[in-house]
This record gives sequence, structure tokens and C-alpha cells, in this order.
Amino acid sequence: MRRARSEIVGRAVRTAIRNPGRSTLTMLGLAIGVAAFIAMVSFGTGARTAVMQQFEILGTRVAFIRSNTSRRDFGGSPKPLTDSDVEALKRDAMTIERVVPRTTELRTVRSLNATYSTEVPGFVKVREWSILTGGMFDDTDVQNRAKVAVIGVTVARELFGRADPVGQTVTVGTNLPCKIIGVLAPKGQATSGRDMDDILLIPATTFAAFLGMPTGYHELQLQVRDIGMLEAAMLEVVPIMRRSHRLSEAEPDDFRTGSPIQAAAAAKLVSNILTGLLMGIAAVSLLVGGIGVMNIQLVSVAERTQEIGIRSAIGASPRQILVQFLSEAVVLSFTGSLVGVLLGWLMSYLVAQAMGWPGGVPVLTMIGAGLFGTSVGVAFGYLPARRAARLEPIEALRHE
Amino acid sequence: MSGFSIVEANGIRKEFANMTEPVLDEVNLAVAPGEIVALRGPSGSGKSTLLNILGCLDGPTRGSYSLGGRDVSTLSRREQAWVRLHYIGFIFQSFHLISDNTVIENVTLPLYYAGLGRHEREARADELIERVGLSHRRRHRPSQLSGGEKQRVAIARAVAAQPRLLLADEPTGALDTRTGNEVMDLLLEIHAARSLTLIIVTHDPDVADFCHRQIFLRDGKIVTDGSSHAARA
Repeated sequence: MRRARSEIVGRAVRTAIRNPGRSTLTMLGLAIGVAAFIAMVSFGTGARTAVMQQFEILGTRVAFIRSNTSRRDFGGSPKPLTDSDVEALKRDAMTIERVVPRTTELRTVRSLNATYSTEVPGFVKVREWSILTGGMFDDTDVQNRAKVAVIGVTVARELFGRADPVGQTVTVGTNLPCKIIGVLAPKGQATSGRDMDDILLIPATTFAAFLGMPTGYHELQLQVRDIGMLEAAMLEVVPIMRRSHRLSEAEPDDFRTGSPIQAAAAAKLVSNILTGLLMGIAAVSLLVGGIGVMNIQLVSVAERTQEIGIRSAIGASPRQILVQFLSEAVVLSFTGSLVGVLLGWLMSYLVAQAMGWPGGVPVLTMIGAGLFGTSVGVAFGYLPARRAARLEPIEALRHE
Repeated sequence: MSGFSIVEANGIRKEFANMTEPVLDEVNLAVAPGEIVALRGPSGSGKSTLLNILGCLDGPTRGSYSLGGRDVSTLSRREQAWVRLHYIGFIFQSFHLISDNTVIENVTLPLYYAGLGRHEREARADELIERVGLSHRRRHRPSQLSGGEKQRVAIARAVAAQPRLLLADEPTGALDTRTGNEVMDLLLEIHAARSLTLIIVTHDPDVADFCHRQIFLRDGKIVTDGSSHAARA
């Protein structure tokens, strides 16, 4: 039985080789369809992974509370975020591990040789910054209002060029000399387009003491105990903040909560929709490839009508004729799909390289696309094969 | 007709939808095993249609047809294919070889459909190819052969599955006289060696003279049926 199957396939392969033009045309549609399918899935996955990596850089266990400036529309003034809010959250929120007040302003920073204006937030250790060289200030530095700074690579380049900035001193604002104790690992560009390496970090207490913080913080960064608690944390902090701000039931929140994860989820949703759309288009192109197989096979049956008549006359049963044409469709569809898989992989690899996306197409995607392409080809090859099998021998023999 | 008939057709009528008159009308025919019969008649007399019905390539509109004692006029398409494979060999005027296939592939084709393994198929086909004198053409395609060589390949293919009945439709019609005679000699040689029954449709009186019996058809009816000696007389 196995020998018979291999012989059927062997005959189909020989027929395909003997008709290179027709075989190439049959395979081309499916190859393009399968390649497009793989490439689309790969592009979608690559783009989504790239977006998610950007969000992961921001920190996956991080949420924030910001002062709600839209309260002005109701005739009130926005209530700043204060130390009492921080204390209330630390005391009452079960899901929160750390609360760090943050204020961000653009400040002039000077070194001996250069002056540069950069973002100077309050203490933001909560975001799990990675260090390129040197180190990060610790709790002692925060308690002692130490005049130390950690800078991003953009600031380092602007102020010190290629020289090592660690150990150097910069002046923040008009009169705050800080010793650089570390350089942050590069983070690149945020999805908003902001350069995340254009930053200088000093302890929040140092910021408050020397740069001034008259109206409180503009943001409280929250580090939740576990990534799974993020949603719960964002629900839990609302009543705590409302009590802390002494809001009546009728009053709306004068703060708002958010998380990079929420933005990531939205981006993921958009990305999933786009991937689905692209896969849909690719699936349609695969179906078009299948219709191509059917067309070429129908032409093949029409061209080979007399051959079918000869085979019938010498004793081939309708089933043997069906198997012959179906096996040809299987061989062409399988080969076309295989070529498509290779093409799709190559396209995905080249685009991933060009766009800087994480490369590689999941093996299951390639196998799935290849099998789907073959199935489509075989399904569409069945109709011509059946037509061949149903030809009347005498009519087929007379066909010129 | 006395004794066993390998071919027995009774009251065969064949009509086509686009024709007012039947192509065959009340044809009765019996052929004994080993007999060589020529079907003769003018164009349109129905001889090729009769041959197609005898070869299970077409069915009668009415009447019955038995092959080897079994009624084959009402068989399904699958059963007809089985009968063609195991009982009947065909030889056509235009050879009808498969152009993509080599000589050996054409000759082994019926054996492939009969389910024989590759080695057995090729051994049998090689024997036949040698017998028809084409061993040196084994791997050639039909386009590389002369008309006589093509017909010899067709004869080898027709007898490959060891049929009991050989049907030839104008086997020398596309060949010159000398080549035609060679093909007929080969056919007669194979007939003698294998005890085949041979029915030949032909316009050519010389070909008909090779046959034991000649049947003349006109307007779908058998008008004479007798020995070649009688026909010549």
C-alpha cells in the first residue's frame, strides 16, 4: 500500500516535472498566498512585540495617580498631590508596595563645558531603571537629601561628549551642584516620540529642598505588589484618594489613575485587530491561490481530455483517474506551499531586520500555513479531478 | 451460431440525441474464441460505434451484449473499466499513445492499473517490447517514433494485460502499405501466440483478407456476414 502511494506520488511528480510551465503557474498562486500569510502574521507579531517591549521598558508593575486639571472646568482648583496622600496610600492600600511622589520640570543643567536643558523628575526608582555605568542613589541618599544625580545617555552625550560622566559634577538649575553617580541604560524613544534618555534623576527630597516644590507633587507613582494586582490596585486607590482629598459623594474625582499597561493593552488590541485584518487579507490571497490551482487544473483536464480517454480505454477506473489528478494537485499544492513557507520566512526575516523587530516566525505558524495552503490546493484540485474522473471514455477519446 | 461465443450481441440498437436515424439497428453478432473478424462498410455505417460498444467504451440504447458469457451491457462505469482492463485490448488508427510517457511507460500502463508491482510490470513490458522489435526504443517518447513503431507500441500495450479480445479500429489506416502489412503480420503473430479473438474495423480489403470472417454494415445494419473466402468470391 505504501509502495502504491509512493508510486502515485512519483507519477504525479514526473507529470509536474514534464510540464514545468503549467506546474509553475499552479504553484505560484499558492506560494504567494502562503508567503503572504506567513509574512502578515510575522509582521503583525513583530510589530506587536516591538510595541510591548516599549511598554515593558516603562515598567510592568507601575501605575500612577495624577492631579486632575480638568476640575478647573467645574470652577474649582485642582488639588495638588501631597505627602498626606502618599501616607494614606502607604497606610491603606493593600496592593501597593511602594508609593513615590514625582515631579517633573525642565531644568538647565551645566557641566564645566556645556549647558543643556533636560527633564529633571523627582525620585523615580520605582520604574526599575537599569544602570549602564556607576550606580543608583539609595534610601540614605533620599533621607540625607544628597546632592547626587544619575543621568540618561542623551544628557551624558550633550554635557560630556565621549568622556565618562561618572564622578563629574553638574549644576542643576541655578545653584544645585550634584555629583553624577551613574548613567542610565539607554531606553530609546517612547511610543509618544519622547527621548527617554533625555533625563536627569535626583532624589525627590533633594529636589524639594533645593529646587522647590510649592504646590506638591504632580504625580504619585505606584508600584503594585504583583502584575496581576494592577487592576485591583487601580480600583483600590480611588476611595483612599477620595477620603484623603475629603471629597463628598457628589463631587467627582480630582485625580485620575492610569497605567502604561492600560496603554499597552490598547496598543495590543489595535495590533491584534491589525494582525487579524492582515491575516484575513492573506487568507483571501491564499484562497485566490487555491482558485488558481483549480483554474490551472481545469485547463489541464481540458488539455488532457484525450489522455484521460486513453487511460479509461485501457482500463483505468474513474477512481484511478480521480486519484491521478488529485495526487497531481497534492504534489503541486504541497510544493507551492513549501516554496511559500520559505519565501514567507525570508520576507519576515528581511523585514524584521530592516525594522529592528524581534525576528523569527513561529514554527507552528509556518507548519500551519504550509498545511493550510496544501489543503486549499487539494480542496480546489478536487473539482477538476472529479471532472476528469467523470468524463465519458468515448467522448474523451474523440476529443482533439 | 453454434458453440461458445466470446462475443454475443443481440438486438443492439444505438441512437444519438442529435440524429434522427439510429446508428445501429437490430445488430446481432456472435464471435467465437480465436476468431479474426473484419468489420467493414462505408463511412457512417456504424462499424466504429459497434466496436466501441463491443469494447465497453459505449453502451447500447437497446439490446444486450455478453462478453465471455457475461452480460456487460448494463455494467456500472467502474465495472466496465474492470472489463476493459482484464478482457479487452484496444488498437486505434491514431495510436493513442500518451505523449508524455516513454515506450516502456506506455506499455506498462495497463499493468499499473491492474495493480502489478514495478518490477513485474517492467519485465512483462520488456518482453513485449522486444517481441514488437522496439527494445532499442524503450526510453523514447512517441514523438521520436515512426508511425509503424507507434502502432507496434500500441499493440504491445493492448496485449500487456493479457486480454481475451483485441479490438482494432483501422490499425493500418495511418500507415503506408508496407508498414501496414508489417503491423498486420505482427497482429496475426500475436493472435496466434496468445489465442486471442481479434475484431478489426477496416476499409482496406487487403487487411480484411487477413481475417477469417468479414461482416459488412450499411446504415447501421449487418448486410453480409461470411468467411473471407466467401467475401472474395
